[in-house]
Amino acid sequence: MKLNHLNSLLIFWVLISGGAHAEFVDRAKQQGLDFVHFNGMTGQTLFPEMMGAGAAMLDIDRDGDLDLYLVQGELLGEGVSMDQAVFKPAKGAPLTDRLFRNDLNNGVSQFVDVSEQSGLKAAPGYGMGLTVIDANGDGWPDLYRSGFGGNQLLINDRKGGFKDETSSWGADDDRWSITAVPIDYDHDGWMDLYIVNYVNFSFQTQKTCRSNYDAPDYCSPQSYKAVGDRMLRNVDGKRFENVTNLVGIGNVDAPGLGGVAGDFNGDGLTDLYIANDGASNFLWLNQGKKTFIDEALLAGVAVNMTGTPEASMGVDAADFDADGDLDLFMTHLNRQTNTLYVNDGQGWFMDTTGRSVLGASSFAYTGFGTRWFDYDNDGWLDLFSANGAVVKIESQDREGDRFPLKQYNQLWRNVGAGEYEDVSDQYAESLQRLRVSRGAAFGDVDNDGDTDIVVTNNAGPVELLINDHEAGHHWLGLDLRLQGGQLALGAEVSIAVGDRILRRRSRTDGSYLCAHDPRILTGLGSYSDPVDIEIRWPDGSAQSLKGLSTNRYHTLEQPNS
Amino acid sequence: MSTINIFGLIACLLLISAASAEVQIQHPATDNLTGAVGEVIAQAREQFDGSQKTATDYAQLGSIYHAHEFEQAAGQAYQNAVALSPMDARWHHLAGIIAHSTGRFADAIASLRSAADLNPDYGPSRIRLAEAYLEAGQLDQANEALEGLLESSPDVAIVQSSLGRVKSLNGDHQAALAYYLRAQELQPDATLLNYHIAQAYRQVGDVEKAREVLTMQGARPVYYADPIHDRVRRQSRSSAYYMSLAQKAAAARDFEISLQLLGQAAALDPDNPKVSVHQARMLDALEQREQAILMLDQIIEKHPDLTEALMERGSLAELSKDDIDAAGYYQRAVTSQDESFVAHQFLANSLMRQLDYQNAARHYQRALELKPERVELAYRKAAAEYESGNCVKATATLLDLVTELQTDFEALMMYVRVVATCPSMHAEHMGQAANAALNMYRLEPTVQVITTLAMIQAARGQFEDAASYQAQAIFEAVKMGDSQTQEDLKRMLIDYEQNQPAQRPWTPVNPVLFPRFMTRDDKY
Repeated sequence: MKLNHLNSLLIFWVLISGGAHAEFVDRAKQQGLDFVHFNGMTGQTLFPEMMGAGAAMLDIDRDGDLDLYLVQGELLGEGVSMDQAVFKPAKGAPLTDRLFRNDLNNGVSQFVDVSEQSGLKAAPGYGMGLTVIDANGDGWPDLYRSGFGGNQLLINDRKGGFKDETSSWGADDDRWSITAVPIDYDHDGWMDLYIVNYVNFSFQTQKTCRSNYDAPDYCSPQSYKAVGDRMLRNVDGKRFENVTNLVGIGNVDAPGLGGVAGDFNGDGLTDLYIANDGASNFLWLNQGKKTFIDEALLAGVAVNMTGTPEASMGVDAADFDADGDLDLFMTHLNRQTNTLYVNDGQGWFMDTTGRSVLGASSFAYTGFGTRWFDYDNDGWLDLFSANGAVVKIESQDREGDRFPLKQYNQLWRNVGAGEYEDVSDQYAESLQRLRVSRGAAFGDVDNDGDTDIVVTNNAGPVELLINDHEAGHHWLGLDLRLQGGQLALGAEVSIAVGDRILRRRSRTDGSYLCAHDPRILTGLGSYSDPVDIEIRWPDGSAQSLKGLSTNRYHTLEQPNS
Repeated sequence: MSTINIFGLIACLLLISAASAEVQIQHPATDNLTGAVGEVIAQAREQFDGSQKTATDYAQLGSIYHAHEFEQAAGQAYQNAVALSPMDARWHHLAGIIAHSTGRFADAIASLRSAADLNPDYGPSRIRLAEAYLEAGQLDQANEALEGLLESSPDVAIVQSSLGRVKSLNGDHQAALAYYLRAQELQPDATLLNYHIAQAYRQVGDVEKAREVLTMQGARPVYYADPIHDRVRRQSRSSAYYMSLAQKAAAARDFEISLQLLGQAAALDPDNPKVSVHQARMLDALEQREQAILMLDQIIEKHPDLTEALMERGSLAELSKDDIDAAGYYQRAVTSQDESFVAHQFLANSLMRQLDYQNAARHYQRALELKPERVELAYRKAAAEYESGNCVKATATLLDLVTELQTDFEALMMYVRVVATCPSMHAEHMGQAANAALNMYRLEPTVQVITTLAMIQAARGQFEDAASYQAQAIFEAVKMGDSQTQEDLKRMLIDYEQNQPAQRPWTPVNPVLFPRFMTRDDKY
């Protein structure tokens, strides 16, 4: 796109957008989300204790609103007892994951803990991430729970609960798994899973490092051997098979922390981008023959602009600059700055962090959960980062903080054409609270047409940041389904808004440890006329729809071909 | 002095007058600090408390804090040095470095600009100023600073490479490429530049050249001397600190620097034999093996049970192809520290090369007991058992491994091949192995999998099938253009055509299945 054209569009967009004012208010407690993460630490600086945990937004009972699944930790270490836990779990609170049903009434969510009724039991491992997947294609969302010590496939029982079917599906991976990425890589209609694994930590291989002020501290992943990822192919909606070697991803080990699926080079095939901690990232390009090759280094997304691998905790892919391709954003350690990779449309990227405020403003923070979302519905994708250190902060430690990794979270507003401003100060009440934040899940919890955020805090309470924007911007919501009601993850939509085409995907992946609202929610600014859209369904078929009314959700099912 | 510099100086002095009040230093607490670092910090503090608190005293204290990464306190000390001696560019420079490394870019830019204005001949201040502009996203200012430097210092690699970065961010990839290439001419050992050069080639459309250049990429960045900062780094008086720097340098394959740092560590801690072991290792890396051996022999004479020295000495013998000598040192290491799985592993490797398979298997077994998660030890143990003629143990070891790894094709292939070539194998094993081979073949018909299937079919007397599969394997090898493998596979085909089973489970040209990891450089 030529610069002049871009500028004129930008001016047009600013004109039609009008001013906006949005607020985020933490209503977790008020709306029934009484959950405090227990990290199980006993003072041994065990690596997994500071890495969790995740959250998933999913409509488990298909009543039209987002319920919430939260991962709980457990006591960590060999031969330790609860008396030794640095932070004791709240009295009476069972140490299992929690499922909260959303009873939405008149635009206000009230969450009810239905964990007991839903049959949730103690999970096999120390919980990390969550992935939403309709594994059996019945239209009811299932969950894949990653962890240290075992993963779980939880199949939706259609009665408001889950059944653990890990074993019969062959879905386990006994290594330390951080998350999984849903992808139908072979385009057979069944959603496969790419399992992102980390390092070979065990209580026997545990190492304790020292801070510069000589306190026991957490070690980096480079202190352990990295392990390989795994690809599970969904054979027939009843079982997975391990095709790691077959698809070509089995010959390399790396400490993976996150991933996103998308068509990065515009060839119509779904690729994978995997974020590795302190090691080169992977860009697994789908070759169309059920195999992948890693082109990250040449494509410019393996390392940052200085040629250095970064910590790569959180990752997301979206078309933030509205030029029709998928760009990448990643959160890293403090002193590394977050990274913005801009796609040139052919799957070649450039690290443009150096010309964006996103770099300098993130220098002091260690970022985890992140996502491109349009919090003010002006049609431009903004960014959030859930922050929390991974090595002790001396000042907090000196003050007697027993988990001195706390930092503020951040929000950047896309002011148009992909330029950002740091607006964290404007939301100080909800963002600038010292927490060890890890996960961030995004979705419209109260169905009011704007994106809310659930932030998970390690050894802290969950936050429900309700978006109370008042700008009156218009929006369009799309709930895309395959025939039979299965989530149409990977479907892409082009929405014509005036002169602009907004491209969005149905996705639950990205961020860190979390799964998001699969619906597509697009801000339209001041544009209120009915909109025309084009959908590219996951099987490659296209559909055009005209005159969709705004400010509401539309459920659209893929037509018969 | 240019007009800009005069204005800069005025601004600098204004800034200084605003910040001239003494900043309270939050000294690092020494109560938790142990060992040398604690002593150094306590000593520095004591010396400072007894001083007249001049700018130099503050800067001296700041540099010790800085060297030990107490950045907040260091920054405060430098700030006081600046307030007391505002015309001394050195303190602005150091304050700028601290501000930069803690993400206070505006402060960093102000301090480094002051330093550059006060002493425009000191290039590192101007380079760091440009870097701070870059980090802060101020590309125009970075470009201006670098263009200015280019005039006075056209032959400095960092100036060229930083300009490359600026041009690249501004979308002028052709210019970026030219700057990166010039930087490489000036500093050919900065192998990380190949990454930038490759990206620039890709951006200008020469993807093939980009791929070619990427194969030469290394980890060594463009470097430049900054004597003021280097003096700070030398303030660290802890041997452990130098050891850690030396390890980082070694990891970046900068062995000379690593050796220098180890020399500094040894000077501070002359009685620590582990420092000397590291020095010997670096000498060997720098191809001075004789000196390395001499040094290790001296250490071993003084510390006959020091496992690290014995292991290193064994490794050098191994690298000199003297396995008997190597095994002797490894044996001593095992005796001195039975809990060292590496010592058992290295000893077993050495025994394998001496064809002493039975003892090798014993030491792999012990290593495996110590590190059960290291599955490669099980591979090796099975290989040793097989070679010592103990097929029962080898198949049992491999069955355990296959059960644990489930879908690891290498483990499965090794199991099948061992079953196929062991004499008098039970029919049940044969059948199980044939099924496994067939399943692998269906999933991933690579040359090695097909060869494995042929081997087990031949072992079961189904030579026609074996020959047919072997022909297919040869066809796949031809497609891959691997002539060496082809010859090997053809020899096996002739055997099958003459109703002869496979003779060996692995061959030198079949490296995946050849018992792996037999030298000290092996990694899993």
